[in-house]
Amino acid sequence: MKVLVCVKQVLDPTGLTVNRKAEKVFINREDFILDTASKAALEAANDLKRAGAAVIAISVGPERVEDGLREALARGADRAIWIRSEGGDALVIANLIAAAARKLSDIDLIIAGHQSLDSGAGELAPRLAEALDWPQILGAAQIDAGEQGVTAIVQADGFVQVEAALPVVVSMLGAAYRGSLANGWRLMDAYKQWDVEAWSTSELDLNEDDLRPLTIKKEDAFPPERQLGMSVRDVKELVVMLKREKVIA
Amino acid sequence: MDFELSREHQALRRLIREFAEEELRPATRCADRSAQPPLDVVKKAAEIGLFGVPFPREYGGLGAGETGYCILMEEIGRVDTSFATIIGAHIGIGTMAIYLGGNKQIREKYLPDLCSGKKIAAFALTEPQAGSDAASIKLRATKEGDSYILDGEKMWITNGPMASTMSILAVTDPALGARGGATAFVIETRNGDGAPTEGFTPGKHEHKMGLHGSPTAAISFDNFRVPAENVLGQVGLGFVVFMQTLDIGRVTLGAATLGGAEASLQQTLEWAALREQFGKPLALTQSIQFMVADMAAETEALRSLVYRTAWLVDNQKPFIKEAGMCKLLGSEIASRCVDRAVQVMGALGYSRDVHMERGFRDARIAEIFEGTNEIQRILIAEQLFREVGVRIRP
Repeated sequence: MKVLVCVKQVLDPTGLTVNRKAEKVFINREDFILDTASKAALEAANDLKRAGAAVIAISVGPERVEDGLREALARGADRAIWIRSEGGDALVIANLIAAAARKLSDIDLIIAGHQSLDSGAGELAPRLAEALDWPQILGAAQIDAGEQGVTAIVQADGFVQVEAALPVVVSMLGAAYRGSLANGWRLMDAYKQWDVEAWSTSELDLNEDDLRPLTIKKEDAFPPERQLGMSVRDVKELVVMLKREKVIA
Repeated sequence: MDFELSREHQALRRLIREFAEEELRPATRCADRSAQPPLDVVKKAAEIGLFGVPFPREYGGLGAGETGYCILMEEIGRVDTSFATIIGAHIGIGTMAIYLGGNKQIREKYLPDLCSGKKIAAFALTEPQAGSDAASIKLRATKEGDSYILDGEKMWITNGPMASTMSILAVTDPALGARGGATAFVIETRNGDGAPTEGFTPGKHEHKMGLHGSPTAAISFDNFRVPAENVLGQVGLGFVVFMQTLDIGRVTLGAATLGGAEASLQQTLEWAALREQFGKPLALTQSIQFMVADMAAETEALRSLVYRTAWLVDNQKPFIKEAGMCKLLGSEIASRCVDRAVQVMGALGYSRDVHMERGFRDARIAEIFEGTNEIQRILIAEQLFREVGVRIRP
């Protein structure tokens, strides 16, 4: 079985401060880390690797995503593919990864994070399934895969078990991350011995429309602050207020 | 000039930080209160390769050099000085002496298990009458056929109770004294099943002011047999191996104190932003601003010194003077920073329920062990005067 894992880097949230008054996000330390849901996806892929699967990590973005891919290698991926692209919205990213999956030709399973720590849009997996015309299993807490297909426990009104035949797209919940760490020896190998394959978008079978985003991101913006209500000391005060407002007589 | 760490060193830092925050931090309080090393955390650190960070890949290490090792100690030092001490005694001195002094056979035999953390190392130098005056050690190694027989006592041995491999300095020729008559050995102090080897007795755990999570003990040897092939370096020149080991260890001890200073500063900033007195956050009080500014300035200077010295080591340039400075300044800066942090936090800083109190107790030892700060000043002065042609020590 061949598993493709989509990994995403996010800004380390401990390096950010949000100033609501100034409506600004200050980046005190620009350090990118692997998103928690991506780590969960890599963990799930690693479980399948122990049962004989080959794991390929893939990421789209500028040069920095190479570090995320090397960490994916340190977390057990056998191979890493970096699609050099400034990206775009989730549609563009999904089209790029779907084209890469078609190019790799024999991918049985794609695992992505369900929602990332930064945008948390949860769009990638459903858009990938759409682009490839594969079934999707979204928000998995646990997966098991064999020749028959994938069985997953997903969060949906509690938890339910879902099955789908291969090939299939699965998104893993960040909460499913069990906290397994990268392996230090593999991390050093990932930098000194192994290569991250760099693919350009021109190598992929895509047309201009596939690379045109549907949505355009502009500057940071804050929604209006929610007006807080007032707190009432006791029932007596509440009754007095309700009477004053003529809610009760 | 490039002050940026390499990308693999940055990646190593991310890995160690995740380990320190997720695995180590939750275990620190229990280790401090129970005075027991967090063995499950030791095991996890070993599994991901943290016990072999500086050593070459051919011996099972990560091959991340002195710079990688400084990153390890800084990140661990931010979270727990006890754990940094377990790692420091294992890598920085215990295993380092075997790496520096051992021939190819010794390195191949001992380093893989030490780098993978399957075995824990200790470094046995100090004796009841030989602390700062390390040259006055008495533990005797007597040649008998193809072996040496060790008899005597060592004190204040970090990791002593749990180590299964030790580098040890013993007197092979009392007439010559330490310089010429002392020999370094690698010895096995525990069997495969964890029982002490014949002739070795680990003593009781010392009760210390701090570093409760790092076990320290006296150890004794009675008719303890070491094969002659276990000599590190040359017979009679063990003092040199041990002093070279300590020179390198001082850089990374400086890195651990850097982590402690950074953590103190971070906590102080967060507390000063949160705590209100006289109707405003402490951060708006000038006396507090002066304290954090001093902490930050000293910490930043220490960071530059530590990583530049690591660069000297990795690039085979002379570093002894700078290594002494890392240890001297690092320990004093960390102590000052944690002292100010306790002061800013007030009664909470003194409370056992808030971990600044542990940091305060733990910081003090760095001014004492691995050569007191007075000894460091002598070493630095020795190097300085050597540069103008004056020898200040016999």
